[in-house]
Amino acid sequence: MVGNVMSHKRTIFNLFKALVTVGLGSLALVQLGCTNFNDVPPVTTLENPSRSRTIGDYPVAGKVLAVQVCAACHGVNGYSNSPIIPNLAGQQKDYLVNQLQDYRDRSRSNKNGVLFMWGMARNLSDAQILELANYFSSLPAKQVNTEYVNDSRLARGKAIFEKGIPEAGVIQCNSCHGANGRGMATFPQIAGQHPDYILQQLKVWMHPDEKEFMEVGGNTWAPRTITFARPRGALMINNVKNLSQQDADAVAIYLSTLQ
Amino acid sequence: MSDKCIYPYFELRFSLPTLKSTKTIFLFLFGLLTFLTSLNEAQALPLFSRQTGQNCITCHAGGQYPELTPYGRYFKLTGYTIGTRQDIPVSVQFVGGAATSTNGNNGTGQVHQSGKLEPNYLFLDVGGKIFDNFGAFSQWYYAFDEQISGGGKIPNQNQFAADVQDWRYADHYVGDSADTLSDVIWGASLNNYAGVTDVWNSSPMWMYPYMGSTRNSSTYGLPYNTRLSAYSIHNPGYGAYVYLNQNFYAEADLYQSGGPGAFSWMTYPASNNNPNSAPVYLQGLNPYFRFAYQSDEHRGHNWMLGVLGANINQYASCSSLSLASCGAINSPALSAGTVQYQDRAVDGQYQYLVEPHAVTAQARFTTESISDPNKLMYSNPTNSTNSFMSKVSYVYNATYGAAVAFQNINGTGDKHYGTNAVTGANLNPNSTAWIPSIWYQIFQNARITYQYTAFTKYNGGTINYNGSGTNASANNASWLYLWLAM
Repeated sequence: MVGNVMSHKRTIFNLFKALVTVGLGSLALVQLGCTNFNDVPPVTTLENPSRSRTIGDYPVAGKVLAVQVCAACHGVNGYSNSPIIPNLAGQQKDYLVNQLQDYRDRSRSNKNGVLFMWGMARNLSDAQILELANYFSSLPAKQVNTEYVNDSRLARGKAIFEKGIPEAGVIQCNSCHGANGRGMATFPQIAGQHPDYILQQLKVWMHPDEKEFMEVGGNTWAPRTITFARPRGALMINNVKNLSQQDADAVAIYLSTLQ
Repeated sequence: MSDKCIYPYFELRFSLPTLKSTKTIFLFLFGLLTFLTSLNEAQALPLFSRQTGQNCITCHAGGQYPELTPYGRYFKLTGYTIGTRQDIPVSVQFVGGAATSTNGNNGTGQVHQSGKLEPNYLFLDVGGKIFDNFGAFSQWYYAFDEQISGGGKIPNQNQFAADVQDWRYADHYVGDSADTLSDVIWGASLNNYAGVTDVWNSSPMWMYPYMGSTRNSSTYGLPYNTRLSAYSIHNPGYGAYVYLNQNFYAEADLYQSGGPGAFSWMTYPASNNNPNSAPVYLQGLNPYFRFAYQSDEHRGHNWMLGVLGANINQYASCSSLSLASCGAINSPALSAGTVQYQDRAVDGQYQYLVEPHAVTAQARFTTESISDPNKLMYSNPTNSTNSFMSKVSYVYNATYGAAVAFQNINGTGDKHYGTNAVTGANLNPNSTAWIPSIWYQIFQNARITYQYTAFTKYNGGTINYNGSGTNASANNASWLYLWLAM
């Protein structure tokens, strides 16, 4: 009987001990987290500013981030190896600045932007964004895509690029993106881009109401409904709303062959 | 003060082992979860996703963690250092489900299963980016009623234990793309499993099936495997690696005894006096090596071909030899000689990753020679095995997935693998398993999987392999489980 009472007391004591442990542990974490941990200045003997992959803790030069982080997907030379990841070599600088800002403030919400770019851009400074834009816009756009040179859809794509589809209200692409698709200021270069990437972007404007209930930006606690959108390219919505999928394919393929 | 703040990792590391009871652990996790949910969203979990702000699919092929994408491989090889250092470098995972044998309940590895929904594992992960060139993947786990193949030993039942440890220093030089050597990644790792450092999922530690039940070892596949296989060489180790032009990879590590000493935390709670968890004592430093060629990614396709191997010289433990005057129950029999394993493997991987499709395939062939001149663990002085492991999978839209694995091992007969109940003849390890699975990814961090293991051969036979009337199919298992990461 006495033993039972004792063991009962011990259980309560252990529980109490556990609670205190948890409480103190949490407090310690709060202390570490909220007040001190991220305020630790970079230790110059240990940190490596010329080859850093740090985003946000302290200002790493844009060029360093470009080769240490961005290049993992976009390539050191600005050419990506995955068809869903855009080539950035020679892209318009103003356009790049706009897009990075839009990822940072989460106004550009095409699906892959949400999955991959919101996190990358969230802690970039204005200066870093400018440096990144400088880096990629100054890379030579010289890689030639020969994959579709014999594709039967090229002629249709070329016609849409140069003349549009007046009966469907589709304006010719070159009126804004330039005669050779190189873009101008905030109008992006679309020449030499991956067809898969172009099609994903066209889809955002062709189906402006598409949405998905998903987790975003490294947050696994609060899934939410994301409407896929590129507000800065809203001009495109009217342009492509009557574009058929076949014509979209043809344009995307044609653009990839443009130099 | 600021010095202290850099090292929450170490504080966590040493405080965890003191948590002994389930209740305490649940309380701790509950407290932690409550605390974490109170944080703003930039501080959500899991750890690596929080650090980069990217979704799981960025690093995991089709979202089927732990399988890595090219970017995931880069993230690991550069020491988990991309992104923003986290205030709270912690995440938790839970695995639970219902494991059943589908054909009787008399298979060897199925003692604890009930067929009911039961918890299997709790994982606690700490680490991530620590400095510019230094990061960690440090995983600890609590196993509910864990057992291992053979139905005998229960290594870490119902207590916290060290799981994957990979503390890594890495640097990355990028030169002019016209240079012959335009890209060099190099680094060093302190880790606790041979192969844990690898970034391809055809390697021993990271191959499918990616999870198994603590209640039914058949869910992990073959009953016997080579020494160099998943969760097998659980010893402190350190090594260095280099990755040239993101094509040529070379790594060498040395593994040592997991007993007392500065690295004992990496094999916690194994100790000489713990009857349930023996440290594996190795003679001296035991080499592990890995070479691989990774193709450039082209239009979403990439492939790898590699070789790897290990030489392991291992002491028997006193308990297995029942020697007098040997020391504590699980201390090593240092004067009795060693068992020597030599493993050599070739492996390869193929991936096609263009959404909404993710097609991946892995295969590995291992040849092993075992030398046990003093007959410490085997009845023959020499034995050998050949094993082939493979898997293909398809995931649609990072949501619906299906995979099938084929595993086979052949080897010489030895008492080590058991004896026939009637004839007394030694059994051999020859076994063949098929492991199909389908899964549904509810969210990127929550996956429900149904996985089936079918044996067409077990311990050398299909019908009555052991003389007791047990058929290979009696070891078949199904497992329905939830994997949740936060």
